[in-house]
Amino acid sequence: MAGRTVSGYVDDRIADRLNALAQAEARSPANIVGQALGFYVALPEAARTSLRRIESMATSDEMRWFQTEFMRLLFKVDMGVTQRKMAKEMGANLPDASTEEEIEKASVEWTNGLAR
Amino acid sequence: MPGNPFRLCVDLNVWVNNYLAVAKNLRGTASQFIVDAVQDGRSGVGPIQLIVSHTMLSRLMEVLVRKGASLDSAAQFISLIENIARLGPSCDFPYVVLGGGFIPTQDARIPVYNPYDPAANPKPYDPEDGRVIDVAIAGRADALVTANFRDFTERHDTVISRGRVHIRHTANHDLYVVQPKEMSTWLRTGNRPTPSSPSEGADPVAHDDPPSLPNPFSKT
Repeated sequence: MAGRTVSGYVDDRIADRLNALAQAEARSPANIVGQALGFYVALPEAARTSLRRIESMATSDEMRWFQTEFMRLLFKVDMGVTQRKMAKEMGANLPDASTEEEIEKASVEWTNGLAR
Repeated sequence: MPGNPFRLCVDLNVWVNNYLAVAKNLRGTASQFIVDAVQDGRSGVGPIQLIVSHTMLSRLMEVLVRKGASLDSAAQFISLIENIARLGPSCDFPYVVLGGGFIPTQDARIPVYNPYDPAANPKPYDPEDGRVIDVAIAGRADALVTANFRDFTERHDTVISRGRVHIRHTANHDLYVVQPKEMSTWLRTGNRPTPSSPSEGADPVAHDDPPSLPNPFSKT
């Protein structure tokens, strides 16, 4: 990927974790750093300030809570993205239903009779 | 975390219902509210723990792929549901229920037919179907939400609202079996469903099901 090289310093613990992650995800450490940096610099200034304050002042419980809530949000957004992708893939297989009752009926039909 | 989490088993048709509502650009359906609450891990009942099994996940994937979803998308969808369960608040991994079928649903019952009749063409049955309620019981779920309600009724159930909210009694544990609309109201308000009329509350379930074996663990 064309781009510029930037350098930064991290402590040994983060460097070790970065290498382990890169190995587990079959990516280069530089690729992961690029993604993380892209996410951070895309945040509004107020969010970056809050993030810095959380990292420097939050207790371990607060940090764990923050991470859990952040993961929930990620999963929720990913679920929406995945469902939209599946809707495209299914196309004409989607039922001709427009009301909640019709959709409920279709969902029961889809999941019933799996033995057949 | 204050209090015990509300343990909720979400049947496959509710996940599909939510997906179809999203695909059809519907907003505010009961299933969407339920799935939202499960994703948020909280609602009017307090913290919510999703109860699910590997069998349920693989069957949901089968449905989605059969209907045209790519393996990649369906696998990601399933993986997200698993992640929600693992995230907590109780951090339950998907269950593996061995044996199963202890309390068979209608689809899980072996149809009775004459094996010596060459013309016999028995209706297909689905032994895996009974495992949804087994998972809910094994996971000590407070409630099982399903739109396929008729399949989950049993004559020993206590009726809170006929065909909408029943209570399944097992050893040391009662399981609410609830339709999505009633479940979304329960989650929204935090108020457990109560009998809607004086005549309801402890009636046996009236339906055309073939008689099932008595439940040895029933409290009644």
